[in-house]
Amino acid sequence: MTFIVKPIFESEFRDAALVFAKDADADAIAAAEPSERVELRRAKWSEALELGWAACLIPEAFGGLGGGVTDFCSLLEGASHYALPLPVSSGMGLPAVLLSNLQFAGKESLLAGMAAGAVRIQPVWRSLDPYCKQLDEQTSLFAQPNAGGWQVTGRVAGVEEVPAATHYLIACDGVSPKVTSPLLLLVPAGSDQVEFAREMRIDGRHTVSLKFAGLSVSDVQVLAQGPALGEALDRTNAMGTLFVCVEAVASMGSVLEQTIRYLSERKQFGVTLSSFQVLRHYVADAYVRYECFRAFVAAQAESTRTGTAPVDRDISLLKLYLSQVGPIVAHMVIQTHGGMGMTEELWATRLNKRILMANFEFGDGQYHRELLSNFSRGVDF
Amino acid sequence: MSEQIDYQAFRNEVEAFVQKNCPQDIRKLVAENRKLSREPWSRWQKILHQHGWGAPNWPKELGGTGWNPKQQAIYGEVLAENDCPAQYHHGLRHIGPVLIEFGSPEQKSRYLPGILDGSDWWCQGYSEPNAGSDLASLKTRGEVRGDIIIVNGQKTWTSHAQESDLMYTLVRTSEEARKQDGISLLIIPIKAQGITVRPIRTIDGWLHVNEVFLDNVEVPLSDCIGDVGSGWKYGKFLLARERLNSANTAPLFQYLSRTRHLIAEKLTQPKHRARRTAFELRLLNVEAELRGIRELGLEAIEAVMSKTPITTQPSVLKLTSSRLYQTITEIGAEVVGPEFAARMPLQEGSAFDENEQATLWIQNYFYSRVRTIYGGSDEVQKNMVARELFGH
Repeated sequence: MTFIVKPIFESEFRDAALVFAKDADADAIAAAEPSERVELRRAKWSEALELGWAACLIPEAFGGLGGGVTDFCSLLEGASHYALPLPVSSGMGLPAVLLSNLQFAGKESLLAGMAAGAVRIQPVWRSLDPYCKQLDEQTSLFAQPNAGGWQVTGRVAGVEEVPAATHYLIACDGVSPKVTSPLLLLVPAGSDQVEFAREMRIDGRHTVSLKFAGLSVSDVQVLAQGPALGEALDRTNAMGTLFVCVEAVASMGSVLEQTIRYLSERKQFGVTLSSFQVLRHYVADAYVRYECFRAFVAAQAESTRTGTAPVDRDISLLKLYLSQVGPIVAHMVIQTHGGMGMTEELWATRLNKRILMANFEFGDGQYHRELLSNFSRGVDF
Repeated sequence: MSEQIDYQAFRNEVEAFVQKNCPQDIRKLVAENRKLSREPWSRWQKILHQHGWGAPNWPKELGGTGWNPKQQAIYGEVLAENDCPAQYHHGLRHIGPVLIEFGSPEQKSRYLPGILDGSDWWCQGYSEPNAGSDLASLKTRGEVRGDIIIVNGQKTWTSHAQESDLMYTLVRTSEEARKQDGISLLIIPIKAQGITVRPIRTIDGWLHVNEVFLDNVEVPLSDCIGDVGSGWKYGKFLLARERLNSANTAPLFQYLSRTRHLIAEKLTQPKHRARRTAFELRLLNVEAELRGIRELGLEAIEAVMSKTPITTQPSVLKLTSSRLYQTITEIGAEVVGPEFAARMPLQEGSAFDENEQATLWIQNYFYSRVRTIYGGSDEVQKNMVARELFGH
């Protein structure tokens, strides 16, 4: 009996997501044309909403299921076993985390709408590459006050696309003559003042790049503003980092299963590949790293469940660790599959790409090394 | 029962005791990454024994603390966090549990008290020139003649033999079809007639391992542990008790912290900025991995507590902790290397300026190489992991 990955977060969410993702993967293989895949993606997103995934992290008081962090992690774990190419974290989890932690008029109906799947939030904030804002002002997004509201200008590129989104949830800098502070806006999707382009990530997930050319937003569309929002965004970002690590580790477990099965079945020189010690050691090496990373992810999720928010330093260490483990596992998978490892057809390839993409989300290893370096300054370690 | 234990209170109690009672000179040895010899180690053992903590892993009725695995883990962590030495292992953690499980009443009453109070010092005679990882190929012979066994052969890599009183050793007492059969576990005083101990100087410049030659050594049959020919079983029992040693990551965190302090002390000039940053960033990589292994170690201890079978965890812990220890010592050696690699003391006691302390970092770099060799080499550990993953 070869290696079968053990659940990290055992729950019904995981089991249901596993079945859902497996079916979606089979359907995706059958859908040959890109247009078919776009349609399939929409359909699967609707199905996931009907299953109540968006309600998982929304408190019961607001019509949600009142699940905890580890419940949502279990959902992500199941979905990521088959590299489900849907924005479960960014389109369902993170908006719920952010909005649940803020006070604003209309909160109850908004969260209830999200839980029911009627309100589908397209996040518009740049979490993928925190360098972006520092490096290129063209990519920044800001709002300036005008009569009775704000005017949003700037660009956000490469955010995961939420199928059939009804609203944009925009986090940007509110720039007034006296002070610049974070601003959170909720506007209906589809304005002609927003230029919109569809793209794709290396793991096959769909993204959008949005250009705002003076989008007018009224004061009633401002959900939150100021330092409290800044803190809530930081907490959401930390939670997003944890979620992406959960997705990555679940994909790693799955890809290890796949690779071990492949090496146990495939024959060369008259014997199975699993009889070659060098290949066994490659796999063992990757597994050892996966195991340590898995334990770290599980512990972080557990401490987040019992605490109030992820601890910045711990989360950065976790993401830094992913940047070390991810490429090792991914390379091992390609190398041990030989030529097959270079093909798109291989299921393991899709998981592999998910792992590599996760490495870039919410700041890559170098970004988190710098953050950690800053944390350490003046601290007596 | 374990639910009733207040682990935080237990941690506090251990902390308070070791901070007050572990002698400063011993803590300094640990903090400076020096190799410990018998004197400080046995002194520390006596202190712990007097407090009733001589054997954290033994049952109460035999003088142990009766602590559960989680308490033992906390105890080990607190010791390391306070630069107190871990207790000497050959007696307490290796042969002690074997004697408790398989020893005769006479063996228990003769040998256990000396382990507990630190008056007897033990070494392990396992490896031979042609039996390292493949230990079952050992050739040292034990010929049973009436009530004595005559032992002839050679052991090697025998740590601490130069300062030991007793050696527990595996010898072949009969030739069987299966090479693991016909092996016996004996206790031999290191000063017995016919034993010669020859020190081996290792690449770190220290003398801590030896060759042990056995030439017609007479061992009373009463010093054979358990049944003649069943030694392999006892050896495996011993190894099984040691499987979660690497779960204690506190010593590695301490080493990491000392290396950070070294960088902060040595690389203070503006010209050092890039160099300092490069080292600090490498240590962050290590810290991230250390956090992973720490969590895995805690999981494994919980698994033992709940009687859940453990599978690959011991190998994963050993492989990772060994590699991280080596990486940290590499960085330490690189920090001092440009200045001090050329300033190794010619002999002990010939220190000049700071060369002795600084060169300890280089010695530890060399010493740490053994981590991926002893206790089941990296290659053996990977074979074990692979066997578990592939099912064969």
